[in-house]
Amino acid sequence: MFKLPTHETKTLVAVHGWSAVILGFLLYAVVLTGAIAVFAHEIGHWSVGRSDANPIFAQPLDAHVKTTMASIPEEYREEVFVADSPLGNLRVWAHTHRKRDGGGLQEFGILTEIDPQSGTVVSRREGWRTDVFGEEPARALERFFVDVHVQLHLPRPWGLLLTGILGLSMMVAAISGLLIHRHLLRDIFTLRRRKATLVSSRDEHSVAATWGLPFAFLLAFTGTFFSFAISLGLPMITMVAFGGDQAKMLKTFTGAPAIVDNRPAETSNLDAILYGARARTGAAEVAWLSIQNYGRKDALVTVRHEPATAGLEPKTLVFSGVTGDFEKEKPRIGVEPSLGSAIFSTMGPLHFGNFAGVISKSLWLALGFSSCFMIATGLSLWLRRRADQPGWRWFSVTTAVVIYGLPLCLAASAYGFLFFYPSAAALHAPAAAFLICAALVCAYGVWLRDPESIETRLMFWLGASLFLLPLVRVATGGPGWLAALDAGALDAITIDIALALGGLSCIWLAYRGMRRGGRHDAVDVIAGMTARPMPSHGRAAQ
Amino acid sequence: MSVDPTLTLAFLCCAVSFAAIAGLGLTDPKSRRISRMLLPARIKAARTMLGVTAVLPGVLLLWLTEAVAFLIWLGFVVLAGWLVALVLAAIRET
Repeated sequence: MFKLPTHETKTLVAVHGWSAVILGFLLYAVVLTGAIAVFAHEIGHWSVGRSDANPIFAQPLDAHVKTTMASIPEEYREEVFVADSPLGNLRVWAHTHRKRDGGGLQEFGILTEIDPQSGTVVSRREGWRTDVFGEEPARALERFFVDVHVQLHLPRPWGLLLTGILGLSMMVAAISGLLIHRHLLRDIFTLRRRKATLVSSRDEHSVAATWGLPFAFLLAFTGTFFSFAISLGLPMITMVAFGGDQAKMLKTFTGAPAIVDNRPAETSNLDAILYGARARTGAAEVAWLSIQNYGRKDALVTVRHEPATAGLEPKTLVFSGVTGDFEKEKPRIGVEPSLGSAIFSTMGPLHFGNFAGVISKSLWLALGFSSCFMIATGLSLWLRRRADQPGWRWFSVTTAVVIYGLPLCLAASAYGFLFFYPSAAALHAPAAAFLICAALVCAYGVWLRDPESIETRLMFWLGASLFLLPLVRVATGGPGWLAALDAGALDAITIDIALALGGLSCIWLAYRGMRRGGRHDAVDVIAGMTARPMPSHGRAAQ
Repeated sequence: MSVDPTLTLAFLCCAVSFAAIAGLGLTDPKSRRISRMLLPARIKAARTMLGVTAVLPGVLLLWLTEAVAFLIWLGFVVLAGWLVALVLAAIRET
């Protein structure tokens, strides 16, 4: 498609390959966990057996919120955030903003969790937002997957900066790949896999990458935007435009109340406001509700909706907190609609794929897995080109361990959570189980030393662990299928089925790989079970 | 049960593009040459038509400013094209 001079093509091939060799493993980790994180909420529901039959915002909540707020001190009425808890309870976070030692402004207040049916208080905690919300075992597995994807489980801002750099490297790989492939459209269906050759490896990578190019670029761009916006963009804007005044920046971004009136006033009926909000958004699902200046004349109620089926942007509606009248649709940034705000608000749905429910999410999951395949075949191609260089042998062992070991470690993190939930130990169990499994997988790889054996065996263990996860979920106290059906916990059943089918597929692929003498690259096994002999020197080959 | 017009439109566009992509895959000259299969006559004009048919639903959705349907269509086309290439390669080998 593009005809560059030979020297420039060689330079781009080197940039494309070396960037993948240096950052490919981390990029693979981010992309794989990103694909899984598309269904993070559903995984969270699955892990605790939560039912979605009666969403919080479909039930009357006005009386519960007002009863709760009656016992909340005045200082925490600056903002009240209402949402659902990981277990499906009503959660009221009444808070103010305070400067925390060694950091910027942070929310400080009282978090109350209420049973939406009976109205009884389930729990009540006071403290900083990160501490109060961070101590929730029920969300530990979901948070772990998201945290690995967002910042590779590293402290902020370093993890965000690293994932931002990885996003940039993915964009570099996409652009350089586009430029170095001379026959992009002519080769779009060309897969020569009858013989295990360099050509077959190249075909597998180029076909997957050519088709996946638009989404690889889209996801890398939006992901890089989020990583750098949080770690670099916002702090820089605060310093440059607001002289470091975080409160001023927040007020400009979110919009301060037009008129300050601190006289006491009864807050309007929240159920009526929610009814009106639904009518204006075509019954789009409500994500959260917040009340600014609760119990005052200038109170404002903000209702955030998920994107409606026909819309890409999530809508945010503002109502008067006293009369309940609709005031305006609020842009994500600033107080007036702008192109910047419109672009910013579409970034999320484009990256998370949550704009058309389970259909778009399933597509994004599959696209994430296809990107993983693209990275794996790219590394495989790089190694095939160096199959006769002994120096790359350990890199091929490492590649097999990372590509097949990482999903196994993620499955192990789910086991860790299920074994320890609901105790407080479940907070750290996913990370601990992940690290223990990673150490075992590394030791297994060093012991086997043969990449092909590592691939097929890890594939088998992955299949077995995925297949057994639903049984372990039920054995550790989760609802069985009948109970889940009864309670409307459909996420639990759907994910159980997906895990069982995924597990069986992995076992079958591993069986096919092993039956062919363990001399196959399992990436090939996924692609179509083609023979690809590689030199076998490991323990398993002896 | 109500039918969502955006999703219905997206599914229709996906179906049209999928048929065209499958046609493009079946008549791919390079793959057929590698598999020593004959190339039908006037293949170039037919492939051009198929190429236009594969892309047209996306253009239509953009013209209608159906962003959600367009993204669903684009995601589907990406996956469908790759899967068609994989399946046809597997069939040709057997």
